[in-house]
Amino acid sequence: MVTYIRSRGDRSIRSLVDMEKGIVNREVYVNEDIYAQELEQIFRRAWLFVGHESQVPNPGDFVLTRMGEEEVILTRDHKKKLHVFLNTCRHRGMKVCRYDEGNAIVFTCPFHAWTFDTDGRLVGVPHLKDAYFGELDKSEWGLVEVGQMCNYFGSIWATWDKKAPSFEDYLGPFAPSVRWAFQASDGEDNGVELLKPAQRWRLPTNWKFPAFSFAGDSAHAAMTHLSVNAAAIGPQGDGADGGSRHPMKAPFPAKNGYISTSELGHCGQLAIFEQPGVAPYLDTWFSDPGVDDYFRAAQEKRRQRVGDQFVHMQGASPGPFGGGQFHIWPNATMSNFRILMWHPHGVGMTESWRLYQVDKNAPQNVKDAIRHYDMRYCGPAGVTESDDMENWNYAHPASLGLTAQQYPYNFQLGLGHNHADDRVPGVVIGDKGPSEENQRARINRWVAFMEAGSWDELYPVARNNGTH
Amino acid sequence: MAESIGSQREPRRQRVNTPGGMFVRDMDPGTRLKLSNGAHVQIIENARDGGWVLARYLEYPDEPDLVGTEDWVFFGDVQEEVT
Repeated sequence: MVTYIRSRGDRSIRSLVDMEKGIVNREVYVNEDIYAQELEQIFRRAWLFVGHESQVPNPGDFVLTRMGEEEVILTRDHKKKLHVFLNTCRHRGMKVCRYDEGNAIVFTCPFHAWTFDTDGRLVGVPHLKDAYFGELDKSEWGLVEVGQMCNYFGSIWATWDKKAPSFEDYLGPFAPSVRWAFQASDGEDNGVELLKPAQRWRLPTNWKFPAFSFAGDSAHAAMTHLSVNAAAIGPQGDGADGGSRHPMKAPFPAKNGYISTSELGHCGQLAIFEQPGVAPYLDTWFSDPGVDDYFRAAQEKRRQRVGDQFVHMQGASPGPFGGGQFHIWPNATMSNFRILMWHPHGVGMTESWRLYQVDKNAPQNVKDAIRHYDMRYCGPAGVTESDDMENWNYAHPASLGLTAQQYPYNFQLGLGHNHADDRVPGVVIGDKGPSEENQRARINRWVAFMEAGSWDELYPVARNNGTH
Repeated sequence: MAESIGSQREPRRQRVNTPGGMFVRDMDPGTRLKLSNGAHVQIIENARDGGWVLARYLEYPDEPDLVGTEDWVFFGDVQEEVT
């Protein structure tokens, strides 16, 4: 199916992107009609990260989050079942929940007082008997629930599309990466909790600038983060690009690089290991007594747990700067210590969310050290992401002008210099220096989503074997 | 030493009628209410949103089959607290 840009006559989406040459028209990032089609073609269909079960441990707990531009409620009902609902009353559209998080027996709309159980059922309507005359069928007017929801090792994902493939199929070769991101440092599955509250702020830029850059643009780091690297802000306090004690530099044979699947749009800076097991732990937390002791012991437990297995598609070590990060199409970037969400909020506005994992069984001094590191390194006040925002926030307005739009973006770094690796089928790896292959993978997937009329056109596994 | 401000406050529970009905937000489970349709109910759980309480029917002259069942009761349908 060919999708045309409504405001641009017969010019197709595909005509704006030439990945063989590594060229992308700026309209992809600034055109209002393209943005409107993204909401429909991408955010109404893709699996999206919505939260973590540790945010709602008890019956009635809820937290507000987002799917695309729309606000949703992640809640645990009175039978402890998780749900994701659109935050809007079925009567006249008012938000039924206006607190960021809390505990509720019901969600009552403050407009006309329709009230909904935490399982989504409409359970109370004023004047049901005396003015609706018992003719309103409450069972047809419950909260709008997502098409599918998946609890994947504690992380909660959802899609509006009932016909989307299963979440694990959607992840493909990146399923082990997501599993790893929610493991405790000792390798225990679903072993983390999220620090509260989430950091949220808005960036005056298109969502794709950060979402398509993170986990795939190390070429920016030397210049953009020059001051941060000079200040040695990493936990190891040791210079540029993570420093000599960065776990990615651990003495453990691996291919570290840009790993992507352009068919699915996921990508990461991860490792394909040359030997089984896990890397030795490198002391990192020199200014936080006891923290290295905790992580070293955890790494030893992880080594015993992993045994002689290969743990491809993960980072090397526990804790922040664990040696890898990855991106799940379309707008979730994560590692084993942070989750970065890039929610669209208009063609020139992105609502950025930061959530941070911490081992749920870690002692308080470790949790505090992680939290302090997260605060100084990440988020709206963190030193590195402040650098990044400078770029994204100015690149967008500098691309809006009609003259500017005549000149495409260049995505040619490392083009044609990637290779497959039989140990992880379905991905290519670029391991010969900086590469923009991970960005090209997301743009390829962007074209596919924007053009596809159904999942039959979007999901290669379904086309190949017909079993999904 | 002066008493704390908190100890001088009015009790949180209020028994007032609002223009739309009985003020139910702070009523505790166990409280009995008479509804405008003549039914008597006992609060099981209070949503504390000012609008709704979950209650069990104790008496219901118009629909006796519903006695013993639970339903959400809107504050606008509450006539008075039964003491």
